[in-house]
Amino acid sequence: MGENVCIRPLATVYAESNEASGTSAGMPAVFRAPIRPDLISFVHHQLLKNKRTPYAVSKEAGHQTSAESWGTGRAVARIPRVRGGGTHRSGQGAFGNMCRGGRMFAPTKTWRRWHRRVNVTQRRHAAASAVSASGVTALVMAKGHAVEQINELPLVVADKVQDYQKTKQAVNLLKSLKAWSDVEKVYQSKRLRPGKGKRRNRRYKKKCGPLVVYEKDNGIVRAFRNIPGVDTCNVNSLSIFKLAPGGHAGRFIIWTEAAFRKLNDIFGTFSKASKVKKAYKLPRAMMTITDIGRLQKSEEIRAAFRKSSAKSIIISKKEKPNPLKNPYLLDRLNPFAIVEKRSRILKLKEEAGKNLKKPRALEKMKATKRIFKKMNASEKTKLKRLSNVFPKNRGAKSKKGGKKVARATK
Amino acid sequence: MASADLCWQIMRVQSCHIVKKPQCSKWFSTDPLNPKNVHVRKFSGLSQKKALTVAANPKGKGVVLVAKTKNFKLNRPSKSLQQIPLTKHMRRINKAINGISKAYGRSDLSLTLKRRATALIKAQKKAAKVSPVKKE
Repeated sequence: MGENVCIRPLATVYAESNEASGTSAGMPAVFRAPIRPDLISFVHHQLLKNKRTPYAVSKEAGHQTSAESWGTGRAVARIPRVRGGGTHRSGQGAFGNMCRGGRMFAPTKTWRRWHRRVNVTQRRHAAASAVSASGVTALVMAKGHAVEQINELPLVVADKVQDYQKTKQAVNLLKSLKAWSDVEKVYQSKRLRPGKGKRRNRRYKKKCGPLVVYEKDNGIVRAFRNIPGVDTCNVNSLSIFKLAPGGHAGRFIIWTEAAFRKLNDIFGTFSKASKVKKAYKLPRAMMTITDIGRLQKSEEIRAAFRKSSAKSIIISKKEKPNPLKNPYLLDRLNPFAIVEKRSRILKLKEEAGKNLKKPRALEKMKATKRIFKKMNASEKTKLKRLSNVFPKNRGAKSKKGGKKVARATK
Repeated sequence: MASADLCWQIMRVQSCHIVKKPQCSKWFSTDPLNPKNVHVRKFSGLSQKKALTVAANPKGKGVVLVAKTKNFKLNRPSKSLQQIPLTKHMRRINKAINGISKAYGRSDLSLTLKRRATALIKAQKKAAKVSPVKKE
């Protein structure tokens, strides 16, 4: 299988001091689940809609006058107008969406379709995919996490971390794991939020840092709570918002050992169903090997390739044949040259009469024959068709043939 | 699971390193392992199995050739990079880059690497010419 090449079958469990604690956990099958950024972003987008609070414009707005149209004949538009006199309002248009003080167009209703139902399997696939992406260094780095100094991904930490009571301990852990640079990035990134969110209790924006996934909360949540950018999450309730914030896969996750060992139970494997999610198995990848270079080299695929034709003399760079000696090449450069050459030779022959076997002519014949030997079958047939320099039956017929060639090559 | 090809397919559109400029169809990249700072597969350092860049030497003289370690394991970020300092004459450095990139298996990058190295060294020379501010 291709996946073993990339993902090591074991994950080292690191002690608080960032040294290998001696134990190692088997790599859960989730980390081999196919990474589907399309699915993750879709599910994230849909589920995000479930956080919305319904709002609407007042039902009465714009309709709290007794306005009526003046009808025709007053040389004004037939829009309903406010009754009475004595104020500026009287006589002004009302109700319509084009009127000042009128109702808006298509007033919003509280019964808009705010929420979205997402298929359970889709949600689970998305979560599995997000976990899988968090084990690939390239993707975690592309997400923007500073993990250059991290020992290993996925990063698994001893269970003692779950008993942390103090933020100081948590900070020390992140520092020793060399994950603190990711938190520092969060500190640096704090900025004013653009737009109206500022006055809606969302004044600042910041990047997100590592996610700490635990199995049992013995104080770990409180310990990590006050570190900006750091989230905590229970393995039993992994959320796509935390695994792939913004719908972008590849969050930097720090697992506690117990949480990490539980992943196989939660997500199941490719053959075993999950113990928690009913009848859920991990999705299989469309392609087991995604390395295109490897695919091209594989024997099965090579066997299906069309065979390349034997190398043409013209293409090969080593030989560099001389077109003056090689009629086929000459034909490529100048299609009419062969016709000319042939007529010249015929002329020579006529002049020489029966004295054909002159040394020079013989040499030429030999040269052409030598080249002829080197050519492959298709080239030979083409050459024969084009350059019948020494035809068997000389005379009117061959001349006609010559003309044909000239026409064809044009 | 995630081969270099798959990683690139994902990172092509979804990466924090992409830089888009107005009126410019080319995407640039802030990928630390990208020798040309252009967001294309050939130069993308994060996704490629083998990647090379040149950076200025932190000591101030010459250049550092940064490479992904040859037996690079995807899951060991801290051990993934290798640094080769090149501090000699510019021509020597360029020659070394030629040799190293060929031995490393990325001779296609050698020209860009040389250009980057040359630019860095030239900048260092310029900086040296500007005399430092005198303390009074």
